[in-house]
This record gives sequence, C-alpha cells and structure tokens, in this order.
Amino acid sequence: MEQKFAGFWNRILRVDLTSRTTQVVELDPLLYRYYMGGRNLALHFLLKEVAPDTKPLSPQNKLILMTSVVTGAPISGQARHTAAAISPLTGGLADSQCGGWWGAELKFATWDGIIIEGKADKLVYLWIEDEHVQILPADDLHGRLTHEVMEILRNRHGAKARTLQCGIAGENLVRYANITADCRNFHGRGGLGAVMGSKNLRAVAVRGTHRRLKIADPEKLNQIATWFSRSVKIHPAVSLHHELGTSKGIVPVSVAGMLPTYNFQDGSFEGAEKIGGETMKRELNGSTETCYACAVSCKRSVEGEKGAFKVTRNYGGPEYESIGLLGSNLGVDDIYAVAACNERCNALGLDTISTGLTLSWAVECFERGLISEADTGGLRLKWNDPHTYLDLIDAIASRRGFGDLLAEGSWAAASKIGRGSEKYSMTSKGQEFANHEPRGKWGVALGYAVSPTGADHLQAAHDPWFTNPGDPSAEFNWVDLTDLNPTGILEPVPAEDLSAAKVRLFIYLQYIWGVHDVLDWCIFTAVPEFRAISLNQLAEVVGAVTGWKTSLFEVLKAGERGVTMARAFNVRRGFSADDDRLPDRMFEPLRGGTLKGHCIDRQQFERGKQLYYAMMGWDERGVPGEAKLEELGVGWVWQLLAERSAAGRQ
Amino acid sequence: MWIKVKLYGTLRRLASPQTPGIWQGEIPEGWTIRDLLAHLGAGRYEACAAMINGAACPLETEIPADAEVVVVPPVGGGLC
Ligand code: SF4
Repeated sequence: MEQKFAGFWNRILRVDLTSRTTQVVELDPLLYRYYMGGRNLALHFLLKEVAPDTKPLSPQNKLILMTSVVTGAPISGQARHTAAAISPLTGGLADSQCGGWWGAELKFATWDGIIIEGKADKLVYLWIEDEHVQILPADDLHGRLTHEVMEILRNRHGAKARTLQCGIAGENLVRYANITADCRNFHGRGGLGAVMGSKNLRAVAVRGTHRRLKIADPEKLNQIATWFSRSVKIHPAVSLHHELGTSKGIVPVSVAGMLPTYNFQDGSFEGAEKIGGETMKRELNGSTETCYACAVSCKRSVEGEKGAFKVTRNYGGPEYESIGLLGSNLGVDDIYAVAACNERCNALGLDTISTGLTLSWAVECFERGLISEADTGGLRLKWNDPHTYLDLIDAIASRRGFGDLLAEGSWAAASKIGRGSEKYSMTSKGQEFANHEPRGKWGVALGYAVSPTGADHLQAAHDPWFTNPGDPSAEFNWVDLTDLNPTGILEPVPAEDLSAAKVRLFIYLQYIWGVHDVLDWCIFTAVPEFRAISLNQLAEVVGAVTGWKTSLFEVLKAGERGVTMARAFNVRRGFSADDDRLPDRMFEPLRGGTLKGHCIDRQQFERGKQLYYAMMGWDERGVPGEAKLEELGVGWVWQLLAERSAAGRQ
Repeated sequence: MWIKVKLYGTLRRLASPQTPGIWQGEIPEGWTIRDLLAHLGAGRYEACAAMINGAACPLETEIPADAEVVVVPPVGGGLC
C-alpha cells in the first residue's frame, strides 16, 4: 500500500466488537495538521462520538488508540502512542501515553489509530497484520498473566508481533487496571485496562511490514537525529538517565523533602537509599532496554531473588513512581520487596501508582482505627509489610474479599466505608496522586487539581527546575530557565508559590507537555529539564517528517488545543471548578522530612486556580469560552458545550 | 579535615572516578557546603538541598570534621 501523506496514512481502523465488523475511517487531511496526533485526535473522536452521559464500563464508551504524525520516524523520542476513553476511575477523561514499540508497529501496519467500540459477546483479541484485521477468540488467554498472554500471541503470530493488553485486573474491571505494551510499557493511569476488559477485549497484537514510512525531508530529519544522538551521549542528565533510569530520583527527592512517605504524611524516607537507583543497580542484576529507535535507552530489566521476593526479566524493572508508591509511601525499605510488588502489579495489569496509594490509604485508616479486621477479612494492616501487600495485590486483581473494595480505588472505597476515611485518600477527581509531594512544589499541586485526568504529575515540568535564572553561556545548562526563554519565560519563580508569574509558567509548561501528549513524544528527551533536543528542534522534526512549514508557535498551539479540548470533554461530563480540588492534608503541615511544617497556602491556591482559568480563556467555573475555542480552531466544541447547557436548563 | 560527600543527579560527575557518586577528601576547616561545591566545580545553581550526617541543612552550613554530606540538584522526580 502506498502512503499518500508524509507523516500519516489517513487510515484509522474502526472496530465494532458488538457486530464484529471493521471499517476504515478517513479524515480531512487538514485535521492531522490541526491535531498532530495522540491526545488531540483521540479527543476529536471522543467528543464527536461518545454521548456525554455514557457509562465508562458500558459498550457505548470507546477506547481510542492513536499515534501521531511523527510516530515511527527514525529518531529518538517518537516511540509513544495514546490510549483514551472515559475513565472508570474518575468518570472524566482517561488519556495516557505509553512508550515501547507498539505505536510504531501499528503505523508500520498502515494504521494511524484504532477506534474500539461496542462489546464482544465473548473474550476476543485483535490480530492486525498490515491491512488485514481479524477478531479472534481469546478463551485461552482468559485469566492468564500478562507475560503468558504475550508469549501465547507471539508463538501464534510470530516473535515480532507487538502486543497491547489488559491483564486479569482489566478482565475483572478493577477501576485502575492498566494496559501494557509488551509487558514493559504501560498506559498506567485512569483505568483504561478496565475499559478494555469491559469490551471483552484482552489484547491487540500487531505486525507491520511497511517499515519505511514516508518522510518529507529525510535528509533534514537525519541531520536532527544525528545531532540528537550526539547530544544524548554527552548530555550529563541524559547519560545519567541512561545509566540509572528514573530510579535515580528516589534519594535526591527524599533529601529535598518531596518523596511521598507513609501515605503523604512525611516527605523524606529514612530507607530511601535502600530502595534508590544505585541500590537497585547493585542488588538487582539489571540491564538497560530501549523503545523503538531511541538512543537514550533508559528502561530497566532486572532480576533477583531474596526469600519470597522473586523478580524476573519477564517484566520491566520498577520506575521512580512505582518504587516510591510501593516503597517509601508504604514504609517498605527493601528493593527486592518493592520490585516484587511492582512485578506482581505488571503481571496482573494493575496501575502501580493507584495500587500503592490505595494500599497506603488502607494502612493509614487501619492505624487510625477507621478500618478494622471486620473490614479486611481478618488482616491486620501495618507499614512495611510487603508480604501482606503482595497478597492484597492478588486480591485486588481478582476482586477477592477486601480486595474487591480496594479495586474501586481509594476515593470510592473511602466513600463506601465513610467514618472520615475520605480524609486519607490522596486523590484528585478520584485518581490517586503520583510519587510527588506537592507541598514543596505548588505548581504540581495546581497540576494535580486542574488535570483533566485526575491527579497527574505529567501536566507540566516541576517547579524546582525553574527557581534560578540559569547560565545561557553553558553548552549544556544543568537546570534552569534558558530553554524556556524562546517561549517568553525569562524570570525564575520560587517553588512554593502560586502567584500570577507561577501560573503563567505552569500554563506554558502545560502546553509544552501537552505537545508531548499530542505528538506522542517521550518526555525524557525534549522537556525543558532534559532538552537533549530543544523545543525549536522538536518543531523542526514535525516539519521534516510532514513537510509542513511549521513553527514552535504552531506546535505549542496544538498542545494548548489538547488541554482545552480535554477540559471541554470533562465539562460535558458534568465536571466543574469544584472538582479541581486537593485533599485537606495538602493544606496542613508536613509531619516530617526536610520540608517538615511546609504546607500549601489555601488562599493562594484558590486564587491561583482562578488565575489559571482566566489565563486559559475559561470562565470562573473553569468552562472554556466560545472565543477561546474559536481561537483554537475548534469552534465546534463550543456547540457541544452550548447543547449540553441547553439540555441542562431543560 | 576529612569528609565524605555523596553526590546525586548531574552532581555525580564531580565524584572521584573510583567511587561513583562519592567524593572523599581533605577540606580546610570552616568551609561551608557552598565552598565545597565551588571547589569541586559545581555550577552556580546546580545544588538545591543537602544533608549533613542525615539531617537536612542549608547549603551555607559549615561542614564539621568527619561529616557525611549529601548534596542533590533541583529535583523533579524520575527526571532528576
Ligand atoms: S528515553 Fe527512555 S522511555 Fe523515552 S523513548 Fe527512550 S528508552 Fe523509551
């Protein structure tokens, strides 16, 4: 098949599982330029095709898998793809980018994305081999660990098949079930695995042979890719990222006082060194792995055994988020135990972040006498008890006993139990916080609150990086503002601050991170604190691949478009400014650690929120205005919002 | 006087080659953590937080003899 357009096929696969039919969707090619891919393309379909009152686990919800115009291009960083749907955890948007090889493989099979709708009458999987698509029975995959499913599919369809699947947790509709790509990369958040499970779809395996995608200016792309590879090797932050991966952050974040510890009661952990990157490298026989065409190669594969804690190379090693939330946040100071819990979550298809925080909610509530053995089925819960956590992880995935309650997530579980236990659910919009203590970085607090997907640490780069002016004369600045200068951010802002200057910084950073979600571009290569490739170069990559005469302005606008479309999606689902809130704990002093006594100023937070809405062109309830939506070129979204409020008035 | 310094993030490049992430050596009495970092060649804004013998302290703190110092750069999370 000939690729007509550089950067995309203009072929999106629609799969109706109810009728077991497939169809090819073509778009006006101009829409690819407006949206660029990923989150934006997914939102186009979700907004147009999913009724606002759709139940997340009903056949009417749609699971959208999407790539971008740069996915599959031969350059580091383009290896992600998007999954989006209505979230069964928050009731709002679930939108998640996952690395690995699957997105590029889908593109090599001549597809830009897949819209999955309806519900199969029995468990099935999709097998996509170039243009050919089959919906096949998955009886033999039912109830199996993710690695077993991947092996079965590869034995059947060839070792080069790439797999995307929900786990047992997804089959059992755990509200924070994830989707995994080849057992190493994850659409972790928002319960997308449960949406997949609710459709009786266990996996999507794909193999493509069109491996040389059409690139408008291969020479230019090659030039940037070569520069990029050199930069990756000599840039100190990136080479360290290659050596230790994200696990290197645990100890420094603990020293700085922002490592979630004992369910966000403390910000430093006495056992941080025992679970940090250096210890992991030393103790667990590790090696590095990579995503499609990426020279950074930051992924870990680990193995090791200590007592009951066995870790295999069947799954990727634990990343920063998982180490913190299954480690310090539960008081666990043994890297083998942390890695074993991480592996168990990956094998069963559970988001490690929500799992860790749902467990820590239960432990704190037990300690405070809000939950008793009558609730837990006789279990006594305590900190640093990884054997019990492993049992509970199994119970959650199979919705057994107390695990059935925990499978709802900490917010829904607390709402069911009551007794004041809601206070200890560290969530926003029902989704658990990530491994970042916002009391030391208030931009993250704003991000947790206003994120369309519930608490999310990937809304924007974090405040501490932008607290100094930087040194423009250095070839590689360590950490400073200079990379943001082309956007007009010129002055540093303190970390614990939500003044107008901070809100402006946050918004620009949110656009930049939005660009990553739109382009399905890996944050570990181009976000300001890494800048192995600069923002201007990222725009050049888009131009070289597609042939568009584009600019940083146009690319950032695509990022902004996604943020506002996501907001509109949630407004249609009934969300308002009241849902942009944080647990009370964030406004109370940290109990211990380097930042002991620090808390967020509630007045500044509320004012910061209003400033954010106003700067975004949204009203005081956080609803995007007609003028802003028209300015972003998506005036049709305003029609949807107007229809909704007219229906509300009736 | 003799001290041991654990360095994290990009500061690791200042460590002794034989001991990744660790610098050990003699420094004059009265030096603060900032003096030490300047001596090791850290960038002006490169360090953000520190501990001496397990207790958090400002970068202006004077280093006592036989101290174990930990210094970290501005932190984001897995990125730092
Ligand atoms: S930097 Fe790491 S996570 Fe990102 S694409 Fe490369 S290997 Fe994958």
